[in-house]
Amino acid sequence: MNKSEVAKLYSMEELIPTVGKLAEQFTSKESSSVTYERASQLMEAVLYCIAHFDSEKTAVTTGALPPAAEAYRIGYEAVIKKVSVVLEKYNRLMTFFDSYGNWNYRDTVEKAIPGFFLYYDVKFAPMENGITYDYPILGLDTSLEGIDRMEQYIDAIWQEQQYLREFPREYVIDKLLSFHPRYEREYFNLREIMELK
Amino acid sequence: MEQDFYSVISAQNQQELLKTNEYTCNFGLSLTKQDVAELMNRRKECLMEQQRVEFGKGVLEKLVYSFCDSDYIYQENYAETLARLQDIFYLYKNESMDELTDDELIDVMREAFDGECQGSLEYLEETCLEKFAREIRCNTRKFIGRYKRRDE
Repeated sequence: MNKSEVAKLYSMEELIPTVGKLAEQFTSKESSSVTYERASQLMEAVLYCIAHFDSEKTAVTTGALPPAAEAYRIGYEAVIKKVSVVLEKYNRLMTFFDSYGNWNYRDTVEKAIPGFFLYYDVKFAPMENGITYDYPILGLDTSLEGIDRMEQYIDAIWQEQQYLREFPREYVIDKLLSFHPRYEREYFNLREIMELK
Repeated sequence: MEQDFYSVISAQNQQELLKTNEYTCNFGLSLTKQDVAELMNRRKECLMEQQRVEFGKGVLEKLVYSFCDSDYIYQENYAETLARLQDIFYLYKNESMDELTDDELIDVMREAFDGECQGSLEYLEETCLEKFAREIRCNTRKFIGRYKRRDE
C-alpha cells in the first residue's frame, strides 16, 4: 500500500484529527497553528505510517479497516520496527563491505548511510530520504521513500558486494583500473564495470 | 487538500468564545453572537490568506483574555480590535518563522500595544512587530529569553 492508496481508504475528516495530534506534538502544544507546508508534511507522515500498517498483517485485506488513529499507531510501530531491521542489515553489511578504493562508494556507504539513521525522523518526517544516494545503483524503485528506499538501497549494495566477492580483490581493482586509471574518483557503479566485456 | 483542511475547521468554538463574556464583562466588554460569527469567519479567511492551519481551539480566546484589560479597548471597538489583533497575530506567526510560541507572541503584542503603540493597531503591525520580527529572523532563536536578558 502506498500513500495515495491510503488517502483513498481514509477520508480527510478521519485523517485530520491524527494530523492535529501530531501537530500538537510538533509544537509541544505551544502553538495552535502551523504553516500549510508543515501541515502537509505532517499529513504525509501520517499517510506514510498508515501505508505500513498492512505490513503488520492486521490487515486491510480482511475488510476490517481500523480507525485512522489506530492504523497510524500500528503503522508507526511498524516503521520503527523496520528501521531497526534495516539498521541490523546495514551493520551486517559493514562486516564485509569493501569499497575497492572508490571514494564515492565508500563515502556513501560508510558516511552517508549512518547519517541517515542518525537523523531519520520516524514521527514527523518518515517519508524523507535524508541522503542523496550518490553511489549509483540502477534499477531501483525511485518512488520509494524514507526507510523503504534505504532498505532497497542496502539490499542492492548487499547483492552487489556478494557479486564482487566472487572475484579476487586484485582482479576487481585491475579491471577498474583498466576501465579508468583514476577509478577511485569516478561516480560509476562497480558492478557495471565488472560486467563489461 | 487545502480546501479540505479548512472545511474541517468549524465554528464549534463559538460557544467557548461567548463564554469569555463572563470574564470580560468585568471590563465592560462583551461579544454578541454576530460578533463571534464574524470573528470566526475572519479567522478562516486569515488562516487561508496566511497559509496556516489551525487544529485546536484557536487563538481568539487567548487574545480576549490577554487584551480585555487594556486601556485602549472599549465596547465600541472591542470586536473590531480583536479581529485586527487576530490578523496581526497570524501575520507575525509567519513573519517570525514560527520561532515564537503563541503565548510569547501575544505577550509581545500586548506589551507593545499598551506601551509604545498607545493603542494604535497600525503602529503595532507596521512598526513595532515589523522590527521585532526582523530581529527574530536575524537570530532565529527563541526571542523572549534573549529579550528578557537584554532588559535585565
